[in-house]
Amino acid sequence: MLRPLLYLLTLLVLLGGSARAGLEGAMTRVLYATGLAKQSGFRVSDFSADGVLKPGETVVLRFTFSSGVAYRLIVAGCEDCTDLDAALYDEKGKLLARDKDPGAVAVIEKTPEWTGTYFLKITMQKSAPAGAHYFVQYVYD
Amino acid sequence: MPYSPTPLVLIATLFVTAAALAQAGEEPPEQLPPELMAGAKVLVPSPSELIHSLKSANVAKWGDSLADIAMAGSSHRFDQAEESLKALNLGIRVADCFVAIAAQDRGAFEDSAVLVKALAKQLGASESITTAGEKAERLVSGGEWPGVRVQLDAMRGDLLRELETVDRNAATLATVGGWLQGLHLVTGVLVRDYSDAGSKVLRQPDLAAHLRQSLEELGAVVKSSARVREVIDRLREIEGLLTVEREGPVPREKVQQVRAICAAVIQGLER
Repeated sequence: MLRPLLYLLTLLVLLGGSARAGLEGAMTRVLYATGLAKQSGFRVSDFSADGVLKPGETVVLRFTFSSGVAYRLIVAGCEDCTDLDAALYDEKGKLLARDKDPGAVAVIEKTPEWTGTYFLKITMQKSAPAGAHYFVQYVYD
Repeated sequence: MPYSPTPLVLIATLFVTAAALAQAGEEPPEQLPPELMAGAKVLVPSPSELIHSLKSANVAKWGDSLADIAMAGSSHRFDQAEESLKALNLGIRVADCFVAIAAQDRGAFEDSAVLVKALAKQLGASESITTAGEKAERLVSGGEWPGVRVQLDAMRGDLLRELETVDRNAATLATVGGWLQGLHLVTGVLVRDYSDAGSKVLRQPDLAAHLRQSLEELGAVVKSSARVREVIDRLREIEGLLTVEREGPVPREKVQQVRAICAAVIQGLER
């Protein structure tokens, strides 16, 4: 009786650990990039977002950015992600900038000409079939 | 005369190559579908970002704005009866800390930090501020203001995440309180030293609308508070005043009106 319970518990710990490792992997990549940006004088926003996306899936985040402030949005996938893209749109949904380079990290830089609403679309282009974690943060100057 | 296909082949090759090059350089414009925009998760900027965006302001100007904090209430409280008022005030006091940092005023920072600790503890979210708060206090005593801001930025994010787990309503209310106080203090700087360029950072009607909608989605108990209902009404007014053309300024008289509305709201929340 005890043995099946121990197996189940081990499986749950491994799965939970695996999930944590995935998110931590994505976070580590972003934190490395934000750390570099800090050395260049950027400030790190207290905002961050994370989740899991399967291949082809997208998520959209809405920000308020100020004119004249330089922003750098950094999105990274975990070890299960091989290609992740990001695109920035204005308040009317018009494309402003995108990072389509292959890889698990996408970076978009923008200094808005006007203050207002901006949308960031993250697309998991390629990952393990079950999906991959993503983590996003931004720095500003 | 024998027929030579070479010129035709050459022309055809040039045509195909030109078409291929045109296609490779061309990328169809992309428009984000309205349903994706409507369903996007909204992130509210920290008061620190709003303060930073007003690049015309310096330490002295932020020092003047500390008088706005003092004027808003004869004595700042942390013993409000309603939980919703405590959460709103928590956000307000965190914004005060950011302005104190911008003004490099140790006394103002410490006064606000005491209130932040007391309110966070009463709302059940004191874990996130303990370590960061101690670090910030050490840095303040050394006059290391950039380091203090970094600590407070991190602490604010942790505080809101901790509040979300304890009471989601409180996290929303603290966010609204922080944004309102940030707007109050930034408009105060602009009223004293107006410029078209500086006023452009206020073009945030969508954010005012989002915060109002967030409050309207709170539970009936929270919305039954007269103060919360007043904040909802005032956010609607602010939204209208901040609605300007994309690259246009917010006119001086509108900045004054926004400042007056924020001052009245903040004063009412502190009672």
